[in-house]
Amino acid sequence: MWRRYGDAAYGLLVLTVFTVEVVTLGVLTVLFSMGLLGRAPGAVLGEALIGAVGLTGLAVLALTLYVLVYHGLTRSRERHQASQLEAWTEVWVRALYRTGPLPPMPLPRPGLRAGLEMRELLGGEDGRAFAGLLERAGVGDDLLASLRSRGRVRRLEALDGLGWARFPSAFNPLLDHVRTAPSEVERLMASRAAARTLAEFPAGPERESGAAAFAGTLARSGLPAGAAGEMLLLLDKAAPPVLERPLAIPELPVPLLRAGVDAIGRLGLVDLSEVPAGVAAHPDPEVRASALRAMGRIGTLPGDAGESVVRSLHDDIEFVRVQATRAAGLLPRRTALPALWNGLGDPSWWVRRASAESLHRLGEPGALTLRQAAARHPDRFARDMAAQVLRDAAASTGAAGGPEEGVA
Amino acid sequence: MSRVLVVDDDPMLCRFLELSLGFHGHGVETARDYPAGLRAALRCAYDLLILDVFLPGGSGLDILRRLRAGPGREVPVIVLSGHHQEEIADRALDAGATAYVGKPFLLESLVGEIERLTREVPEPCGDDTATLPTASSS
Repeated sequence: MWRRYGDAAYGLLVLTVFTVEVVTLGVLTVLFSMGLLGRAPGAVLGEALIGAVGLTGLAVLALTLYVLVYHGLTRSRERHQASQLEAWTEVWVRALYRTGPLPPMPLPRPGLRAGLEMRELLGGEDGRAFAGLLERAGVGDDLLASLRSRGRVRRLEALDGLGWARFPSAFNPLLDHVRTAPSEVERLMASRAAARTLAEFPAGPERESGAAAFAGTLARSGLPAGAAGEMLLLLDKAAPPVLERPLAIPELPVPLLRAGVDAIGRLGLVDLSEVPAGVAAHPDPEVRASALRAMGRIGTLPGDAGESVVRSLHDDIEFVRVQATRAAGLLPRRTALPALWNGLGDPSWWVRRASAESLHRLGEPGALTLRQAAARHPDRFARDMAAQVLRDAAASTGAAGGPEEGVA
Repeated sequence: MSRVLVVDDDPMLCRFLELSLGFHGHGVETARDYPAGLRAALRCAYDLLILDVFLPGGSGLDILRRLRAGPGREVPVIVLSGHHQEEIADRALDAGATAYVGKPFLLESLVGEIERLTREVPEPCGDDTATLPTASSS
């Protein structure tokens, strides 16, 4: 809906208009039926018709007026909110520059919003300093008190606010909330706020102990793998100590293992590249695929991970072979080129495409192999795919480089 | 003291920059939408512009392109945005931005950047005559 406020008033007005119209049409139907039977004089029918048209006109007018007044009020309300936000921003900036006092608690909604938005705007040390100022003003205590409220909406708003504010003092209460909150939505929001808070901890023992507590709580939170993955990405620089711990737990649920491995790849954590390498042969195909994808994203194959990649090129599961093919570009050329040549003949279109693209990313040796494949690969579909990727590459660069170029 | 124009639809950000840059000795004016921002930018009365990318009524990068194509070839412009940062940064620099600052930012870094960019700019605009847009401002 385009309306932000006034659902009840709008619903009531529409209901009234429809009721009036239905009653009017009903009366008209009865009167005209009686007229057909000769029981209603023409003058009565005429009066009824004029009355019905008049009522319809009034109903349309009422709806139009409502819409116009609504727009007018919305605009003035938005202006009022913007001016309140500006006024409160001034209060906070003056407090930040010590040219004005801290505002007294409890803060009105615009005061809280302006403070939290400023916190969100300021990065690094500035942000941490401003968070300290918000805490001194009592915002942290107020939000934590709201977290214990019996009203669910109030608790959710407090969690949202704590996620923006990222008060270090709120970290442990947030973890408690992840453990004890009755609903999954609250556990999710509390985890998100805790992850954002932990991401702000400076490197050191406090971050290490916070990471241990967060890792344990997340592993037992029962949150879906996608949500857990989001939390791990939110941790940013604080992610490595969190990721090291749960991934070392042998009985870690598979979805969490997958989320952790995926986060290592997305965050490009080279120091943890042994973790995906260690699960590249995991019995769960999604974990295998995540591990191969992570190594591809990090851009390195530690230890004997290359052997896992080569083995995965022949995996029974198509999406594992796709990820293995993408990671195969990291193998030594003498291994990668024949492996990707073979991949061009895979029964899966996706694997053939990934093989051709991996070859293309290998530079001139890969491009030459692609041209040779386009000309004389024994598999017709492999020839087509190689030619297609060469054409796509030529089109995207605007350069000559079709399938027939440079084939000996 | 340098004159800074901030074009952003966020009232909190505008007020924040107005006050905090004011504390650092800069005079700040604000525009909240594309037409007002474009008109103010082409007036050439500022030593530096801070532009948001997504504005009501148009894109901040369009303001930047029109500025660079016309009277404000040399005016330093900082693009300030929090969306899809790498992509926006590339687009902003391609459009002629002098610098890109992502949100969240360090205030000291922003102030330092403003002071660095405004130090060596003799005149905000060249000799070209600006064609002012006819759209009304908010």
